[in-house]
This record gives sequence, C-alpha cells and structure tokens, in this order.
Amino acid sequence: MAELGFLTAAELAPLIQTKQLSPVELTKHLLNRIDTIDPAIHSYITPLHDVALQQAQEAENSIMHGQYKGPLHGIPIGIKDNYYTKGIPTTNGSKLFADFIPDKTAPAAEKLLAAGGIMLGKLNMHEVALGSTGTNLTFGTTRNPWNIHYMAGGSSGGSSAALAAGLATLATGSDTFGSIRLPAAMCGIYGLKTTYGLISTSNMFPSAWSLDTAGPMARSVSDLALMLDGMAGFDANDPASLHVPESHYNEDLHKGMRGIKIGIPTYYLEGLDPDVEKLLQNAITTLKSLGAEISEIVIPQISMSTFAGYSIVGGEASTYHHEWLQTHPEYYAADNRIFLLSGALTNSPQYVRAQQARRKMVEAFQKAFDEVDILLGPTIPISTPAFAQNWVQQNLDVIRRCLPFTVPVNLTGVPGLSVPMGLDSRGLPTGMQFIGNHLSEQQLLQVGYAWESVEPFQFQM
Amino acid sequence: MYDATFIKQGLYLQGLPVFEDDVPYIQNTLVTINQAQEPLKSFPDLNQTVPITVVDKRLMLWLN
Repeated sequence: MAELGFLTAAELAPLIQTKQLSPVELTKHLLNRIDTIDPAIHSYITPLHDVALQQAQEAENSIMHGQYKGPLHGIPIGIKDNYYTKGIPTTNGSKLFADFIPDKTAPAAEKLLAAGGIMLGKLNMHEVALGSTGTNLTFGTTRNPWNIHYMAGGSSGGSSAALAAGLATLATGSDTFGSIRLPAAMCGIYGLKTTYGLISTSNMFPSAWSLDTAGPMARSVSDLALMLDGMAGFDANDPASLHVPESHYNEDLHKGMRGIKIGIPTYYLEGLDPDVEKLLQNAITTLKSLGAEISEIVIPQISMSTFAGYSIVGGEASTYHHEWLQTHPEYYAADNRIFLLSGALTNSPQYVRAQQARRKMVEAFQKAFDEVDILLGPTIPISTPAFAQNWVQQNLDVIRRCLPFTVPVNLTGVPGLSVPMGLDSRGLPTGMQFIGNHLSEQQLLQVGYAWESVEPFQFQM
Repeated sequence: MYDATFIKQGLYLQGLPVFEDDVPYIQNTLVTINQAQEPLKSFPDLNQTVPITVVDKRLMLWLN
C-alpha cells in the first residue's frame, strides 16, 4: 500500500467503511507526520492532537456500530485558520487575532465535521489572507514541500503545503483574488474556487466581502467533489448565499472531455514565463487528444481586471482593517500594511468605477459562455519563485504578476479549478485553471477528472 | 502624482499611521493601480454601466 499520508479520501473511504483501516490509526499516522515533517514546512499554525484523536475515536466507534456516514467519515481534514472553529484558536494568520477563540464554527467547516471529517488542525496562511507568498512573521513562513527554498504561495499556502507534504488528506481554503488557486498551482495540488455564494462564508474572517469565497483543496479531483458535496449549501446568515438545488458533485465524473468546447482567452497567453508557456502548449495538445475542441477567444474586458481587482480588494479590505490599522499598525507585517494603506488611499470613484468594470466583465464572460463551455489559462503566469531577501517587495511583485490571472474569476463570480500542469525545468509544479460559467462546478470537475486521468500527479517526499 | 507628501497627508487625514519605510512601496502600488486604469479608456460607455454594488436581497425584500 502507498504511504497513508498520500492516499486520497476516495482511496481511504472504502478502507474505512469496510473496517480495514481505523480512523484512529490513520489520524495518529498523520499527526506523527506533522510532528516529524512540519517543523520544516510550517503548514500548520495549530495542530490539534487531542481534538483529532477524540474525533477519530468517535468516528471509529460509530463505524464499528454500523453507523458509517459516508466518504468523509474518518477522513483527516486541515482547516484554514480564517475559518472560525468553536473553542479553538482562530488567528486569521495574524498577531492581531492570536488569542481569538470563537464561540462558533464556520458552517463550511462545520458541515465537513458533521459528515464525519476529523479536524487535524488549523492551517497556516498569509497574514489576513491578503498575500501571495505565504510569508508569515508571526507563525512561520510556509515553505514549498517540493523545495523548501521556494514559496508555497498564498494565502492558502498552509493548505496546499500540507496536502503536498502528505500532512492532511483534505484541506479547506478561501479565495478572494486567487488564494486557493495560486498556492494549489505552486504546490501541485487541486484547488476549486467556487461560484460566489455557493459555499457559506459566514463565520469566516472577511478579506473583501464582494469577492470572498470558500472552497476545497485536495490531491485529486474526486476529493474536491467529495468536499464540495459536504461544503455547499444555503446559509441564511450569509447575505450572498445562493439557493441552489442540492448537487452530487462526485457523480458522473467519468463523462470525459469529448466535444467540450474550450476557449483560451488571448489575454491568458501574454506575459508567461517560458516554462509556463511550454507546459501550457503541451497541455493544450493533450486536451485536444482527449477530444476537447479548443480555440482562442478574445475577451477585451478582462484587461480591466487588474484595476478592478486592486481597487475592490484594496477598498474593501482596508475598510475592514481600518480601525486596527489606526490602533495596532505594528501588528501587521509590512507587506500587508502597505497593501492595506494603499487601498485606503484609493478613492470612492475608483471603487465604483471598478464595480462598473466588473459588470462589463460579467457580461463579457456570459457572452463567452454562449460560445464555449470552459475557459482555460495558466493559473499564474510565473514559475514558483524562490524566497527573496526583500520579502515585502516580493509579495507585492507576486501579486502584481499573478492577480491579473486569478482575479477575473473572482470579479465575475464564476468557478475556477486549478489543476497541476506539470513540473517546470527546476522540478517545481505549475498549474492551469479551467474556468466555467456560474454553478458549472459539476462540469469543471468532470473536465478536471478527465485531465487528471491522463496527467496524474505523483506525490512523495 | 503620488509623491511622499501626498501619501503621508492622505494617511494622516484618515488617522492612519505613516511608516517611512512603507512610503516607497505604497507609491509603487498606487502607480500600479493608476497604470491599470489605462485599459478602461477602451470602454467609452463604461460610465453608462450600472456598477455591481454590495446590495443584498434584504434591501429588496423585508426578510428577517
């Protein structure tokens, strides 16, 4: 059998259901791996040995009594530390909230736990979910398990690193301007930014209200589907929450890609690092061999996304943090303080203009989806950077390069699935994103599954 | 356009702190945002577009 730490939930679930594998044994194994490996990775802020073992024991007792809940029962899950967890420190990756202990759990996490998931711990993140490098001066900078001299990305860098290092079976993330997809690409895992409102974001720290989404991260598309089944659903406490019929995202994953029309916005072909460009061309060839019909498509409105992204994220995030910036500015790392203060210096006309641009982009995307089923591009245009000495400038630079590729999905509210695209010339992962119409997660997962079946990614360390 | 004095005054008026070392980075970020406005000129009807706003269902329906 493969190393337990790298098995997917879809592989583990039948072993647990048939009592060949004990959830306690599995949880202990992962906690041991965390104790041994994580000091070099910093993917966790708060590992939860006692909580996890207690939940695992409860799961085991239920299963032994014939009360198997389903494929998440007994599966160890890491929870990003901007999801509230009742009675457990929830820091938002920030010194500001180092002592915050919520009295409730975010519904997006609660539902996974109610389905039998085991909470392994709270995962590291770029401070207040507003950076792309995973640098964290308070809780330790998350490092890329493929090479610890390189960044894991952010803001859900703890989630992606834990998955890549075999320190969690599943992980939650959040995505405001790329925070699920960017670290997924850098660490070679799968990450789904969901349709705005599909998963409740109540009882999560906000970054920018009109863009924030919660979503699953995993080592396979099947596992993303299992998580999405657990996380999606209406929540009256979230004003953005959508009323949608219940879906079973794990069904029909095998439908394949034949006849799927994929449009590649020309916008996504400009400014790519050479390795990314080469791997994208290889991927296009493979997708064609799977039966996809691929064409280039021009969506001029995407060119407004950089301005809209900076203005909206900066404006909303600096509003949320305004009082803390006044009273505790020294609690912010310099990169975030600079980003937030820059946002505070943008003005109302810029913010509203950005929202006008956003509507233009929504209309343009709707039109594009009349012509094609899926849009495709690299998740980010760059190869994963090594850590630079000037980490402040580096975070601002990575945002400047990558936000234009990730934020269009947030601005238009559509789902985006980042999948591993292959290793670059340095042996580090790259990613590409499939972008679908609103609530097209099922189709995105089908396409991702077809891709994964011919380009499986090997995890070992 | 975004000189250090403008930035410091802008922050001061909002009661926000000024860290001298931050100022050049803030300048660069504001320049990035300013330059990113350039593509908007290709859409002369932009101002006829109703902005997407943080308006939720409770503004249109009286819900508890």
